[in-house]
Amino acid sequence: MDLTIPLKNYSHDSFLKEIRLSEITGIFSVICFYANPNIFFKKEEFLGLFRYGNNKLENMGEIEKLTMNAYYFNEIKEVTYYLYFDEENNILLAYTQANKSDMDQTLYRLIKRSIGTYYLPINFTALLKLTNYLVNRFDKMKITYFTALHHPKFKTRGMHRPDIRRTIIYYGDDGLKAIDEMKKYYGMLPRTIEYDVEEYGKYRVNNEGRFSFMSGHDSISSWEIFYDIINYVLEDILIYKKIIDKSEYKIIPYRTDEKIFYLPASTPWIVDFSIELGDEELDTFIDMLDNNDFTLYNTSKIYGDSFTLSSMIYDEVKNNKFSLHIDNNKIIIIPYERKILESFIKIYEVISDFDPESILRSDIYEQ
Amino acid sequence: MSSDNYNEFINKLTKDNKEYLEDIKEKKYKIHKVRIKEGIETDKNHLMLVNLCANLFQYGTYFNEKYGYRVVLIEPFIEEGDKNFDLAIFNKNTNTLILVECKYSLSNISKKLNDIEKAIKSSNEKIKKYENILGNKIDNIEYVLCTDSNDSIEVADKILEKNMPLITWGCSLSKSELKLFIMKGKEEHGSAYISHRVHSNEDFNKDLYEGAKSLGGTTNLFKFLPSINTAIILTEINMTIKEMIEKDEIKKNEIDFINIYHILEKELNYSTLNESDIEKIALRIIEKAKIKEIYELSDAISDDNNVKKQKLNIKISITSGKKVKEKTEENYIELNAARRAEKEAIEEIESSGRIPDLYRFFTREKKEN
Repeated sequence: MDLTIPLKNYSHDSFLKEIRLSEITGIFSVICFYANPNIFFKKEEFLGLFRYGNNKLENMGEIEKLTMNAYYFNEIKEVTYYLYFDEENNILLAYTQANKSDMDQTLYRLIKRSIGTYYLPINFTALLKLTNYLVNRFDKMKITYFTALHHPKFKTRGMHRPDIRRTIIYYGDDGLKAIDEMKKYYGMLPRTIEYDVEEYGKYRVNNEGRFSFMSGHDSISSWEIFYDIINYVLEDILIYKKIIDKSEYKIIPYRTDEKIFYLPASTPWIVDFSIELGDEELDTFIDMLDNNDFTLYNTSKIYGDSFTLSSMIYDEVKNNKFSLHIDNNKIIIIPYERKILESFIKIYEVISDFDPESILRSDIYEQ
Repeated sequence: MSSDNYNEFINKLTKDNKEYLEDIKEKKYKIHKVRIKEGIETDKNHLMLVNLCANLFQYGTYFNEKYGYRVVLIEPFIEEGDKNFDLAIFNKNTNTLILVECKYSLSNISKKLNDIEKAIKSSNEKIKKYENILGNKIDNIEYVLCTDSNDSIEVADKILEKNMPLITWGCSLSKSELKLFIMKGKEEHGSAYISHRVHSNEDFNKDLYEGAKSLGGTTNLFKFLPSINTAIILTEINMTIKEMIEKDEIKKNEIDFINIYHILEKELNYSTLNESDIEKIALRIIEKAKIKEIYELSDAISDDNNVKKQKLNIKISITSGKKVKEKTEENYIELNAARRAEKEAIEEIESSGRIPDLYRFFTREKKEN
């Protein structure tokens, strides 16, 4: 299904209003993408990513209509997105009615390999918080569908056969309980959750930065809940995004009486693990980084009562490099230039998978 | 993998001696491979320690803001070939220079202490030089030996025994923590103060004695130091080249001396090395990488075979960062070990009396030519 909105100039607000009034049927999705503030200062710069091949961009005021081709074995399919670039938060919102396969073939595919951007991962903590929020707000809220996976490398082990890799698609009215049970017994972390909110509608939230409005489009209140869900999650995610965006490595002059020295100063970001890590868990985490296209080099590891690992790291997909430190309690990361921050969004996704209860923090000096 | 010299030499030997030589070479090769690997690991640990200290004294940290200490140079005297001291920390408020030598492993600690002792003794004569390097008057120099905190008692004890004006810092890499080490019970604070085994700033002593945690942990504020193992520098250079190729900043077959120079310059900016020093390091690295079959040079364009005017081709696979890292280290270690093993095997067979004298005379003459 394709989303078709009349071609004219819109503000973001008037565009959302137009959508609400356009009697949409079928699934409507909003995808959130990270835009590295040091590469994309303005909408135009981000749009540059799409100006190649058969992609078509049409300006509609604050909104940009993007048409991309999804190439399948026996057909070429046009996929439409309406883009809004939020300059205040440096995120790109894409509105679409495309199905998952079409999105994967087009926008996700481009974003995953492009410099300066990545989808904004919605991690386990954010999903859990949203679930609690909705449970508290709506008495009869149900989770009727979710997908989850367990990887032997997750720190979340579960009680049964933790070394088995498993994925699950769950349908059932008891999803709310089942999510907890799947985590407890099988170490599974949710990827997509569908919330069935009383008479209002059904909403899906997916870990790859995607919110989908499944049913209930005819009521204004249903739309309000949809946008409320997005705002609630984004508020949370923007906190970690802001900490990451603040990390830097800069050269600061130091003056003596007759000379000036130019010396580096770094502002790291830090993730505290939820429990103390052992050697085995460290190896597991390193394997996880490796499986996610992060290569460690010039690595040094000190064993003893506790360990420290210090290393350079190369992102094989975005081709960025940075430095990290891991010890039993935390991971510290510094960039060498601010143009690589999308790699941090990526690596934080891996860290969140490894230890969903870990906490990201910024530069509070400890003395 | 064998070099031309070695092949030429072995071809002239009898079957027995050939086997004998190959046998020695194989044994030596294994030993050297381990040694070279260990050398790289030791240097990586050293780098970790240096970076932990540097992280604590960089701009905006507690020590910088409260007292005015700031890391100003890495390997401050390397320009004159003096490898003593890894960091120069300066305090402009008090014109105090702290020279820090980091040592992760205690092997050769006595030699290290002797070297530092000499350096300290001659530093009075060099104070003008240090002032020139800093571009500032120096009223006070404090010398620090920073080791793993587990070794600090032993080190501090030796320093006390030798009555050296040297301050001991103990570092816990796993806690990212640095502490001033005082031999309480063995030496009164007053005596330590007079003997320059604590810092001149008492508040700073107090803070450091309680321990300071590095916010940046052991992350690499500096990716390498001028005198660090070439394998570490070469890996960093090659990873940077890979990054630049992928980002269309350079073309794979158009890399040259200047690219290597710029990568080095960016990092070694924080040392006292000047352009020609960095050029020398770049040339040395290219030469080593050539021998280790990591780079090959295009045909010489100029008559003088000037490396600076040639294109470098990367011989190792660069399909992924992982390949670059693995192949750089592998080639570096294996070819280095092989060359050393060949050289020593030839020396050993020559001194074994297994080769007739007349023959040795001819081979030697040939080598000289």
